[in-house]
Amino acid sequence: MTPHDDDNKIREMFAASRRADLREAPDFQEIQQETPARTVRARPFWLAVLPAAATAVMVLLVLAMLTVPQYMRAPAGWKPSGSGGLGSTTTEHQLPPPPSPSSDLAKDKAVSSVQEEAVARISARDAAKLRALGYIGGTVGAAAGHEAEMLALAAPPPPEREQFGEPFSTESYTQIVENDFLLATQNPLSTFSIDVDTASYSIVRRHIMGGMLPPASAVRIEEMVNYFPYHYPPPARDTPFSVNVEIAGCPWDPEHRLVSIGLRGRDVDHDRASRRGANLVFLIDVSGSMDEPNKLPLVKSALTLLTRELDGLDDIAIVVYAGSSGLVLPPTPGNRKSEILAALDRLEAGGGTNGGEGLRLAYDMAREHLNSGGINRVVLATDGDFNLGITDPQELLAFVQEQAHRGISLTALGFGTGNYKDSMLESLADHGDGNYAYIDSLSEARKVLVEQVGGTMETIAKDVKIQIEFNPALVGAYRLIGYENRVLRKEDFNDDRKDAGEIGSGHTVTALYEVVPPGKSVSIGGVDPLKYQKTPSLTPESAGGELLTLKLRYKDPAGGDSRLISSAIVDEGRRLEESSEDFRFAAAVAAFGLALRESPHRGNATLEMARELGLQGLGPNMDSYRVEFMKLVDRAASLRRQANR
Amino acid sequence: MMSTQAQSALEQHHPSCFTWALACCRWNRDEAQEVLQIAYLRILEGRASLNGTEISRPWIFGVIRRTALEHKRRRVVRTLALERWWRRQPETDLSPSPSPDTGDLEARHRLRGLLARLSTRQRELLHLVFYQDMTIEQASEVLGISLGTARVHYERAKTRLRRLLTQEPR
Repeated sequence: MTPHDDDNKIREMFAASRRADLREAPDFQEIQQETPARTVRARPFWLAVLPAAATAVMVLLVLAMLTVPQYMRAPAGWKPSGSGGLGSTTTEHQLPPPPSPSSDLAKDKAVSSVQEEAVARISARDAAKLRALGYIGGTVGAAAGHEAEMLALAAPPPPEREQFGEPFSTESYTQIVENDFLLATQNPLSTFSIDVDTASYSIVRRHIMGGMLPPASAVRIEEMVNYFPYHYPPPARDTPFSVNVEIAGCPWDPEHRLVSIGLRGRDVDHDRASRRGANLVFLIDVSGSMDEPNKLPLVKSALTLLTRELDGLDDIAIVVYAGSSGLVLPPTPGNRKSEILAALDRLEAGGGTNGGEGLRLAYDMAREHLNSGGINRVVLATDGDFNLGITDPQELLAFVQEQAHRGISLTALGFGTGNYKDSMLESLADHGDGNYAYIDSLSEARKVLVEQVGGTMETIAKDVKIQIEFNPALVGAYRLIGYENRVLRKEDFNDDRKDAGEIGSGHTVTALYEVVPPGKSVSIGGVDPLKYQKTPSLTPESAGGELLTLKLRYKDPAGGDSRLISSAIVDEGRRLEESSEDFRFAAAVAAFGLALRESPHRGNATLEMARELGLQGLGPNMDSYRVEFMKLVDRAASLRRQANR
Repeated sequence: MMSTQAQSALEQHHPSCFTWALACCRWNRDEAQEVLQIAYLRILEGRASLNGTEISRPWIFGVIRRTALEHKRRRVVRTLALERWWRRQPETDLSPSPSPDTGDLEARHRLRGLLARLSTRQRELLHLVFYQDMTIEQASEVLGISLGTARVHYERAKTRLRRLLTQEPR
């Protein structure tokens, strides 16, 4: 080859390159009209805001220390966890090798898939890494993989206005009045509906990772305990769930006993042939407030993850609501993935909120494609307000409840910060016979929508109620930990008209009671001792050594009369040290919640105790959710130290 | 009127300006758009000094190049490791493009892989001469270097690229 040939070859390569580039060149007008902010957003969103927010948070941290009152002493904004004091490892080592999109043409599209791929890779490596690194004492290095994931994909920083001040006041959480101790003689029956919601834990995590202790009313202990899967044995063949009771010493009061009641739903066979398919309608809030990295983009990614799991048996539709509501994707079989993904891609935020109209449209779509025998569900994704159209919350709830009775349930997925209406979403899901989760990161989306797709999607028993009768011969007083808004009247237990919670395939549900033996003193809220009755008249059974009788009612997902399971439980007097890992871990989460809430019933429960119990309950598998919990506890402890300083 | 004159010049040269910005930003399209936007704004608002010369393509290219450099500097300062990882560009990836639109895209891909192995100055010079069809003199104006220096770098760059081309297994 002569140099001249070479020159021509080079020239030709450059020319080809230019042709390729020019095909992708934006119009002059486009460049000119775009505001700089718009372009910034066109880049991977979290990158654009990451550095600025890191700086902003630093500044605000200092400001907050100097100026704000005690309760707001911690910096309110998001803080990249990689730069935090705890568990910080350079993310570079944790991240997978760079993606290599083959051309610029494909790059834009590749970005989203590469991002997901990255998550997948990190998650897969997580387990191996955790095992390799081990979880050593106070260090949290082992959680680094998870942290990298959280850093990379978790809720990116909220805009500056949210860093502190007003917007917080628009987040609403219903005040929780904790269950008091009740005397077994006066209230031998304790009745509640199970709750498989997990949102509270994600909300607490979001606060703590954002450098702030959560408000007490955001800490719902049962939702935190139920965030974690427990290893209860699967049920016998013909029952929908197994019931597992464990009793051991109560960590936060050595004189008390802690009773753990664990249910585990049957694993529905994921054999394609036996699947009945799902009819899902996504109702997505695209109002202006959703135009933040941790909102609509996260919704899209979450639904992209879910879309991968669907097949031809499933139908999926997308309805959006904002200034006006509309159908973005008519019911489409789950195997037409490109259509679904293209529809997701088109979603853009903008406009006011008209939730009510969107809700009706969503239910209309669900009804049109009703999958008899399968799952019919509206999945609401929003960051908060849901108050137009049907303005009266009661009317809205009644509407949702009526639809649930017709077989269409409602799952609520909460996103974002600032204007978050926790209470509304929880009661919507509650009335809609569905569940409620708060999604603060792509990994959370994966957990809720993909890992639990069987659970989230397939209800195996509904209206599950638990009633415990305590034996006053062995129980002086007791307290149900959490489940404050799930407590039922004792008459409701046998009343089939009374709604209660659902349990899904593979779900585990755990409830904890703190039991005080007779003769020990305990503060009982608001009740004077009885004047005319001293010792209750006991039946001969009470002398049998049974601590309690557990009764459980449930209905088939299709409805019909409820069935009853009943079993008597004897306390074998186990000490805490003899309890199972699951028991200790559940106790750790409860202690964490009690300490965070600064509950009057927390006894000796501290963050330190939560950490100690959590370590004991971590188990040999180093479950990444549990490891993350440990990190959260450490972080909360350091926030508390800062606050007390 | 400066701005209308500038406006029409920009409009006329826009496609090549974009490709030049792309080259200055290591083919990161988003970044190139941002840089281009800032550069245009500068020119249209008369903030880029003309220093007595006329509005010409080399001059506009110079503004774009400086803008890209500043942009890069700013970015480097605040860059986190994460961002570096994310932004790593495909130029180091020499595997063939799976795109169905083979011809041009593949050529571009290959060329980018080769150019990545040259120095910045060499890459810029080759781009200006071969891609933008500029004379070496115009290119030296864009880069703000003397004609002689430009010539030397240009020759070296060409030699190096030729060698890479023959070395590279086809």
